[in-house]
Amino acid sequence: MTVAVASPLNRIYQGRIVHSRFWVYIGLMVGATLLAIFGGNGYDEDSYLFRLLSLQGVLWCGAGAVAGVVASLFLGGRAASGLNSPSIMNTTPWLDGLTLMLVLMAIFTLLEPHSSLISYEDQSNMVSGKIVMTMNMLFLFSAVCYITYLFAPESFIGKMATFTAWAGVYAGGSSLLLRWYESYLFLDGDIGHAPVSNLYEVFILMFCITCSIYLSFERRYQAKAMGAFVMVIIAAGVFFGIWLDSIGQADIKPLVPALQSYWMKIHVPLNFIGYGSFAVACAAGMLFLGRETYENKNNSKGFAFSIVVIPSILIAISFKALITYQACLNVVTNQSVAAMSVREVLKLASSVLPSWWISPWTTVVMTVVILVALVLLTSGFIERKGNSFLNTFPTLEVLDNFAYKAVAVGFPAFTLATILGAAWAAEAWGGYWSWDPKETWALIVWLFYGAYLHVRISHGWSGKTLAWWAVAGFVVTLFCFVGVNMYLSGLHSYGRLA
Amino acid sequence: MSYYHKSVKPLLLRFASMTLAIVLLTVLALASMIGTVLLQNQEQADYLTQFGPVWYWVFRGLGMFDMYHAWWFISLLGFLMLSLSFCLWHNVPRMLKEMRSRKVMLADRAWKRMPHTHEWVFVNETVEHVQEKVQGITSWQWRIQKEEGKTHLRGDKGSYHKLGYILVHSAMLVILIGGWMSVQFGFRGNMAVPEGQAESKISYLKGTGVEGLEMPFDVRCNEFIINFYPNGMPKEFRSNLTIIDDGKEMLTSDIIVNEPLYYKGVRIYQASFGDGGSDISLKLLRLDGSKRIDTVKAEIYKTYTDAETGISMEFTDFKPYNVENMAAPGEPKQFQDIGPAVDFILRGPDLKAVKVRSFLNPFEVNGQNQGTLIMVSLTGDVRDFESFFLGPDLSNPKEWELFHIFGNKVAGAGEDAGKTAGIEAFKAAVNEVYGEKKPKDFQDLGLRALQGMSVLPSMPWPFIPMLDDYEQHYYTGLQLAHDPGMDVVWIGSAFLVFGLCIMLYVAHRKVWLLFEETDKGVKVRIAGMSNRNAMAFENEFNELLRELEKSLSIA
Repeated sequence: MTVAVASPLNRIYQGRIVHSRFWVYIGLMVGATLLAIFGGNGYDEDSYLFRLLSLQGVLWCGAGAVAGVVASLFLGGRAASGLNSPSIMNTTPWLDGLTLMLVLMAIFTLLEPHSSLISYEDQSNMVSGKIVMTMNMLFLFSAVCYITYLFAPESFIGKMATFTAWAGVYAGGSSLLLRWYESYLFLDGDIGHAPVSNLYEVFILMFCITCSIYLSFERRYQAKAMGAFVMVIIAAGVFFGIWLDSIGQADIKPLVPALQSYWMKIHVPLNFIGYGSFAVACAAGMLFLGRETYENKNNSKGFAFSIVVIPSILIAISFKALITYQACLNVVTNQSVAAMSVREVLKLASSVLPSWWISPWTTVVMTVVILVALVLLTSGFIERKGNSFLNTFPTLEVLDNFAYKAVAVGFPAFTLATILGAAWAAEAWGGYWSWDPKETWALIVWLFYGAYLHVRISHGWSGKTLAWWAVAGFVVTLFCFVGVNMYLSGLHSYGRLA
Repeated sequence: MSYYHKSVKPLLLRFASMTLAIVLLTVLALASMIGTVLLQNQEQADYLTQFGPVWYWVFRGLGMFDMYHAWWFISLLGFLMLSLSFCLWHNVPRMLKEMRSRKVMLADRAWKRMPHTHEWVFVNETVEHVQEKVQGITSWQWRIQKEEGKTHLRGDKGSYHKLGYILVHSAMLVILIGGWMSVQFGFRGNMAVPEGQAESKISYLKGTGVEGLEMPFDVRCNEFIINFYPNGMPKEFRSNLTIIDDGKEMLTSDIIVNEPLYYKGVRIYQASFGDGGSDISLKLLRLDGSKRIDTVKAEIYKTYTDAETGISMEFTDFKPYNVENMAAPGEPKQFQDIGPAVDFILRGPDLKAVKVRSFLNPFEVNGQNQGTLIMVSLTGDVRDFESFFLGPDLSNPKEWELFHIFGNKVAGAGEDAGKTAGIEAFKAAVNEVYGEKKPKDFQDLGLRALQGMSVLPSMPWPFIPMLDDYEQHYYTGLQLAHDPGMDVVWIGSAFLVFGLCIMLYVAHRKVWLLFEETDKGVKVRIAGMSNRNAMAFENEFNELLRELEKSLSIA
């Protein structure tokens, strides 16, 4: 179960180097934890973060790192095979990635505007916003590359797709860390908090987690064609994120008292490991269904549909948005359109453009037209290429396994996240379970995937039914994630659009 | 006995069956969904207007308004518990038996079916030596059996894999039992304690009604504080509480959201807050031309009746801060506190009852006085408040006086007097009120007075009620909970996560070795299989082969 890494990196993922590095990370974490427990009078997050960056923090973490080196010498010295533990070799790259994000974030802090230019009311000049925009572009570009790769598997484009996806993950991760830092720059550092407090922030988190789970699968199973499905789901999310930003949901805001707890940092990211894995499972399910209908029924249109359905929606939306934006530009200046909310742009647009253009049905019609055109184009290509097109894709067996693997990663994480959510509720709301809509939907998601695992493990089901199950499961998950916040009220209403 | 088996066992097996489990999970999921769409535990009157009398009674009969505590939902959970119990009862002995019994010998047919096999012949070696070398690899658990001159060896890894199933399913049972204990032996309710007072009774919803429960101690709220962020959002709700048990003060402590207090098995949470009967005083500015200002004292949640006009004011709420977004739509938000305000319902003879919000301070934008603001809601709903600017800043007695003198002078000048006469009247009025020291915002004062001339005489009320002074008292909304099932739930949860990890990540991997003495040397055959993750097992199998070859130095 060793990780195959590109050749120049091979050396730092072998033997003593990776082993000692792993233990240094563990030492650092233990040092930081001990500092939190024994370093001051009780745990206070703001003062803890500052202490971590002070000499005291350097000493505690440094001691931890030294202890890590010693532990590595002791543990790894006994047997040569001890140096090649698969769990160490699988964990260390993730920790390396986190470190790199921290380094990137530290570099980005140097680009922040001068403190006199920072204002809580207008946060548009902060660097994190620009990095998020970069991430958006990288993910969209990567999605386009992954789709192109399907039609030109031999070309350079495949490498480009993977590279930009990784770059997007690092941009997203470091922008989130940067937001954490920036939250301390506003209002005298009074509102500093971890960047997992609203829908906009957790969307970025979701992209990064989904993408990195997929990329680690891609590396292990050589399943690059899957990327066209995963990245397209992420691209759809990017659209939603841009929309959130445009209606003013991207600002860093103070935490309401209910969210002021260390539980938030544990409960939220863990949940997104679950959601992200379910997204990957959904992508595998979609590809399975597409490939299955072509292989067994020779239905190339069905296959084409599974590939182009989400891109068609995105193309229609972006086309409509572009035209609307252009029409507004004719009336007012560039700058004032940028400062408007979506609702106002639409209001302005309705005075410039005919009303049928603004209607949502136009989007639906456009989507259908684009979808039909793309399905015909793609299915023609598939029929011409025949089996050589199929060779780009993982086999049905691999895809089936892929979806199961993703659920097997996500389900325990989601279970733990829900349990820790209950623990938080017991501390803040007076009971571990209140049948709040979010809780109930989390239970529904849990039951849904619990049933999936039942029929898979004990009944030995596989294939088409479970592929549909994985796709439907993600729809339920999405409702639990976004729908509950938008449509239902309850104790989780801080995830709501204000 | 045999009768028991004949009739009951198939029934029990049906309970243990997976199909039933899946049907139960699905029905539970669907039922839970209904409860998130149909808002739970609302006012009965709201349901009645929403559904009409027929459906209201149907839904109420089914307990849909408190669905998660309805008999049928609880029964569903009970069925799940039954199904889980019988599933465990049916499968655990079999699984434990399977875990213990590991067949060391492999039939010939099975050898052929094995996904991974290998064969060596070791020259100049004895079976014992080779077999000892193999057993020296400690990462596998070995079992040996000798028969018909052949030595059989079996190695296992992750043989506790089945324990995962057992743990997960018993964990679910434990969690459900914990939940039942919470409901059966625990309680959870709310109490509102005004500052400076003590309370010992909690109330909670049961079905469609409210019930109360006496606590074995009193909770006194010494103080309730709200801290704000610089932008006006609340940062912290803090209550200073004293527990009084048997007449003695047992402990005094602060609680905030996320940090409850624990006393005698009861957790005390900061849940809400509100006005605990603030003392307020109001100015009634009479509009009968007499310039009279009466000051009256009142209290929130009480009603004041003005003897002179028969108008009553029922005070419903007081807020010391009222933060509103002052920016025009589209501009960056600009929050501003417009100061203390009191809400009351104003009723009177020949008057439509309305809800009124009256402020202490005049309304100011960027430091510019815009005069007195009053909000009125015709429906009584705070969301329907409409703003009315009265003109003069009525918190300033001089402007009240100016308004009257100005009014008299304009009236004295006659109806057909021109615009200049109005200005002259105003100047004269200002001179009379302020003397030589004219106020700086002379221009604005004029505009306010003019606005007042058109607005105030058309008021339907005989007086304008203005908040004058206040002494605020909060109540703190506490939630008290006793939950004996909570620790059971945590234990179950730990089992659940632990079991899931074993179930999903630990594969039961098996290898079989057969040693035979032949003419050429010792012939060793090895075969292996795993119940999951074939790809990882292939690596592991090859790793084992390499390790064996190394220890027997034939690399």
